[in-house]
Amino acid sequence: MKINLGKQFGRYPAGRYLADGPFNGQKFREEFLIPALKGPDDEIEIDLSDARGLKSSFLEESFGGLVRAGYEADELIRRFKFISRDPSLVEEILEYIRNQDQDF
Amino acid sequence: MENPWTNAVTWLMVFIGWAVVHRATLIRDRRKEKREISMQICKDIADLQTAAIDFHTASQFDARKSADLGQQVERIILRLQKSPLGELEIPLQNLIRLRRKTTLLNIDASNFSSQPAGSQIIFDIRNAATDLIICIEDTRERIWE
Repeated sequence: MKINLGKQFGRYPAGRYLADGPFNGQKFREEFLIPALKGPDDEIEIDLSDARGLKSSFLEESFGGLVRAGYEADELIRRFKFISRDPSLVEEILEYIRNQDQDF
Repeated sequence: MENPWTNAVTWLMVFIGWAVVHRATLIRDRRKEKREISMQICKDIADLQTAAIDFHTASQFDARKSADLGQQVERIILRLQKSPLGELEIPLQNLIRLRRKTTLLNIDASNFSSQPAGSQIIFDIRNAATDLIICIEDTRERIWE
């Protein structure tokens, strides 16, 4: 299973909740990540390369929100494979998965 | 009659001397160029800090400025990981901290509230930006001076 954030969801994803605009983190989590996790594929490739200006609030709500929704961090880390030009983005997402309540 | 080998050795010595000086000049120029690029990124980080504080202390949420902050921080972080600034090997944690402190809290319309100048958010932005600038300057002095 492959998800291209910039091409399938929005080139400029932004915002945490539905009220924050059409390409928010809650929507990405509910319409892309959770269906992919419920799907048959074990490995889920998430390509961040085509998205621009990603903010931490979007990343935290998308991925940290999965842990709040009941998914195990270990399972998420095992199943998600990230593609990005920016290694700091991937590391930040992994931090939100591991410690989803640290800052937020 | 002059030995032709003496002439050749003289020219060879001249060429080697020129090559050594030329190489040293190139290295010095390249190092100067890298220092200038690193000074520019420090200025850009300071500008980002100013823009972030302006955004968070504004009386109303500004969607355009929120988007601009995301892109500004993205460009800075990408440049710090590419040549030549990538040679500085700035720890990822410093980069993550800059993005997180600038764009995690109070950045969206749904949770925006005007921050007083002494709020924790403003304090954290200043610290993240300053720590990153210091890290760049220290590393630059160590490897490019």
